[in-house]
Amino acid sequence: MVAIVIVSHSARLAQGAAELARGMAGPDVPLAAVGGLDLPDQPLGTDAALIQKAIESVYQPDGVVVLMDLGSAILSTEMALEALPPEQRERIALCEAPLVEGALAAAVQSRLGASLAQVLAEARGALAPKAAQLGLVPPDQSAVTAAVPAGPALTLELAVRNRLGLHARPAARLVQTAGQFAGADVHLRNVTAGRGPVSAKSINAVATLGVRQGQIVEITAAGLEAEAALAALQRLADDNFGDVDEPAPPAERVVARPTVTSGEAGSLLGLPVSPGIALGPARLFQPAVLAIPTHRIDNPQAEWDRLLAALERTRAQIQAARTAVAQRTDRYAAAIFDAHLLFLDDEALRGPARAAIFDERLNAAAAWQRAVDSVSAAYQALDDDYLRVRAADVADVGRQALLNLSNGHSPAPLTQAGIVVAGDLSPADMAALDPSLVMGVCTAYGGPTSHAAILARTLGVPAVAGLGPGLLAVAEGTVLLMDGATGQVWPEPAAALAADYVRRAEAERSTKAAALAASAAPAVTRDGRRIEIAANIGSVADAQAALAAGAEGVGLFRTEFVFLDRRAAPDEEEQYAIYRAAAAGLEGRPVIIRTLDAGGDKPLPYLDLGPEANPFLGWRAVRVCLDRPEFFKVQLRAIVRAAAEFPVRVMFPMVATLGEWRQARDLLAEARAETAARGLPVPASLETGIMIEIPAAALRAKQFAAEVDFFSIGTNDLTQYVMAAERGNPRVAALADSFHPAVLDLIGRVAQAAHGLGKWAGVCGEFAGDPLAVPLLVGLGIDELSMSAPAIPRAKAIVRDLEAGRLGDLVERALAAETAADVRALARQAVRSNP
Amino acid sequence: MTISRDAVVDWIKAFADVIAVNKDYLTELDAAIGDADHGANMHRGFQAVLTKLPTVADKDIGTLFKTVGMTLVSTVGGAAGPLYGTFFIQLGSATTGKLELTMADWQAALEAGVNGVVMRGKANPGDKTMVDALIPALGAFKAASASNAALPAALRDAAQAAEQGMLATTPWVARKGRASYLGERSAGHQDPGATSSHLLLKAAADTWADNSGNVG
Repeated sequence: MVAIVIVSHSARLAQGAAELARGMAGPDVPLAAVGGLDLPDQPLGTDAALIQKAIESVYQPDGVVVLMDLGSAILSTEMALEALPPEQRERIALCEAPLVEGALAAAVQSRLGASLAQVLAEARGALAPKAAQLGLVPPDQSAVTAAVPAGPALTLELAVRNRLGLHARPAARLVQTAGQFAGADVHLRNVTAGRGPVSAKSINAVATLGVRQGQIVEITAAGLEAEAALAALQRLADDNFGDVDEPAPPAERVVARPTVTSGEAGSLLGLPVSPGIALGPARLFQPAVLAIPTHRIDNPQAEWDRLLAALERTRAQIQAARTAVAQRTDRYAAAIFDAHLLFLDDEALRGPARAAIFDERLNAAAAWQRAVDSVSAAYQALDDDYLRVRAADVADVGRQALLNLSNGHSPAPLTQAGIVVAGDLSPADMAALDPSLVMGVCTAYGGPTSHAAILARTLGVPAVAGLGPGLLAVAEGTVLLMDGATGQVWPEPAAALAADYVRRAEAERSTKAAALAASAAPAVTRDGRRIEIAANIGSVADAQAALAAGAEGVGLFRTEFVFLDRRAAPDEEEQYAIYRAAAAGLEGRPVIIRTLDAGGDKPLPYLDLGPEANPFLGWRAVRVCLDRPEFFKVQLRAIVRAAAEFPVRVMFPMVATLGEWRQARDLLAEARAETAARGLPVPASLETGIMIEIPAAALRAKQFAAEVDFFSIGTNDLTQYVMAAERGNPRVAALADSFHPAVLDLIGRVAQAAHGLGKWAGVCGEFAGDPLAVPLLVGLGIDELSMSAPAIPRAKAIVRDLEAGRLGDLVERALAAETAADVRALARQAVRSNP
Repeated sequence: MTISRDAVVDWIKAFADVIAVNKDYLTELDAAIGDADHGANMHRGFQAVLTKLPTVADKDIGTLFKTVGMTLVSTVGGAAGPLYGTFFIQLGSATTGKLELTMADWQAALEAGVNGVVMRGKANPGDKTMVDALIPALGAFKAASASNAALPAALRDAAQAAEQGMLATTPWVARKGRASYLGERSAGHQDPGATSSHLLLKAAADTWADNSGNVG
């Protein structure tokens, strides 16, 4: 996209123009506003050095358009240009267009993916519509003027019912239909997401609206054929945009054909998972090759039961993955997993497997594998792309069940640096990758909210998911270029393209390095309120990354990793060693260890959790631990021992009632006494808190505050419970938005309750690291924000720009707002007016 | 006869003082045909320069001039920022590594500075801008130098030529900058930019001709 820089004598004017442009074109256009002098009283004027920085901050290889007001703005901009490297200079155009109109027109055009010349032309013609509206003769009858439709615009508003939103196919139909009416200027706006308007005649433009199921779009048409165009579009919408309402076939996941050719055309498009640019050789991630034993068995019923149990475990895993992956991924996730689940029940697999076990007395693994192979081969032989992809699905499900049958696997470790290419990665796979060798991760399946994706972000590894099975055709060692921010992957990229990206990556790195350099210092608002910025970690290695990113401690140490993917529970010594190592790595900074948070979605064979219809409302976390006190106390003793040496705090997840809290607290006291009785050192005091995830606990925060030492609000789960909306269900996922005023209201009350009794309240969860959420949370009185390490430098920078004493107004307006989108808009303003 | 590094510093300081004294006068001139900020802007810029000077006191003259230029770019705000900024940065480029300036050095530097201003502002003589003071001054200095005049005399000639140029701007109609928006109404007012440029060259003549301790 072409970037836009607005230069004015007045910082406020520049920012205002930028705000208008963003409002028009959406937040994605790289746009920088610069004005005034960097002096305490912010006098009017322009500063070539500031302008140079602004240009550098948004520089795009596609080009930069600079709009200026007058006088020194022009001179200073020219001076700034001279200071930039020549190869950048030639892609920067100074534009004489009027500041406000020019910025709006340029931003909208840039958003359509137009070239530098097109954006410039659009900006220069920006006065034409205004002249036409005022009934004046436009200065020249340029193409832009001609495109301005005569007559009033007609509007049509409709809800998109398509399961996958306006994805490639329905979007293409919409564009084709709109394109038939040359005499109509048709624009489309995503009302729900506040994106657009864009030309409805450009596939790229429509795609940028990201219209999802259930969202409202507004179609505006003007010109002679406006009425006819709208009628045709209405018919198309009535026809569900030509989509048959059925699960999308997995073959659709590939937006570009997965042919491995060089250059832009051969690029693959997936779901952006973790930002960052990487260029390196493909490293195919081989799932562990299973040696399938074949032998005769004596007890077919027991063997059959074993297979059924493995299939049930597989079902729980897939459901968990479906839940995690489908969170806010608009497109395909659900369909993939639904298909996988169907295969588990498919008689075509079960029947032959059962026959092999009972009739041939074959062992379960061999029987199952034979059934899988035969069904997979049958699909493979079909002359139909869609069905052939099913072969891979069957093989996937088959392998997963087999792994469960043989109790886990160990993935082949990465031995050489490169970009990991895999079908999908489990969190354990991702965690096992050597961070010094992983340059990036590309997967054929999965989505941006899977656990593996969250891990990738935590590790700061660029990642793209959902690239489609075509990705797996890439040969080992093929050079890949990937952009984790856009989801694009180019196998064997053209040299110029790669060089461009490498340059961008370097620019990103230096910006990051600067933020990082500033990140070690504490985050104190302009008016002196200190906000503790901590990290969420899930392994010992994470602790080091957290420290490097400037974390002042660890606000959430997820201990599930210690328990997952193993046959027997970890013993006290092993846990103690892990907690101790993590705490030691923090060089004296505090760490909050969260006790085990497992449930039906995170199967642990030794706990016999079993699948549940509704694991998030079921037997999980502290509920399980309180029912298995001896198991729980192993973890508590390990934590107590670590706390004797390091500043360790402990918190319990999923507490709903005071009774649960007191039981947990008492078990902790027992664990402490038992440890002391063995002659081992125990801490003089151990700060103990609870996670606030359940609305019941949030509403009774005052009662809890009298007994706990602190609260840590787990916004992911709290939001789902408050809105009664599961993020894994695309039909309701949009409801589960932490920016909703109801969620903020509860967060504020929890903070107040804590402070009322001299306790502190923090927030852990993705929300804490959301740049837009930071001013809201600080305004609501939150004392500590805990986030994934890469988010820390940015969050600290935002806190430092805030005036805590002046956030009352923002909070008041956010709480009075009606929708999450309104709150976002308010927060966006707050972040912007606090430059 | 040369201009020492200390003499250069003295010139900058002297000019800062001159601007402080003439702040309101410059603003008054600018109020008639511009946006009434030239005096205040120049004053802010040179006060900032004064605080920066100690950090480069032990550096070569080129560095000193470049620092002055960069500071002006970021603190003046109006068109005088990039214009005087360019002037001093160009002086700096022409004097890189030097610890004292000969008459020829200064002539080369002044020429580079004036050319920089012309390039930056794209103004021609007669447009009623600072160029109308600077170009005659450069010409006068060159002429004096060609007739083997001593440095103090050449500096005097230059300052006088700048003054003539400045006074000449009064009846003209402005063709550049904010004043050009006034058209005919800009006639009858002396140009503030030409005025500050004259003051700059006058400060050089006063400092370097009268203070024999620094100019040897």
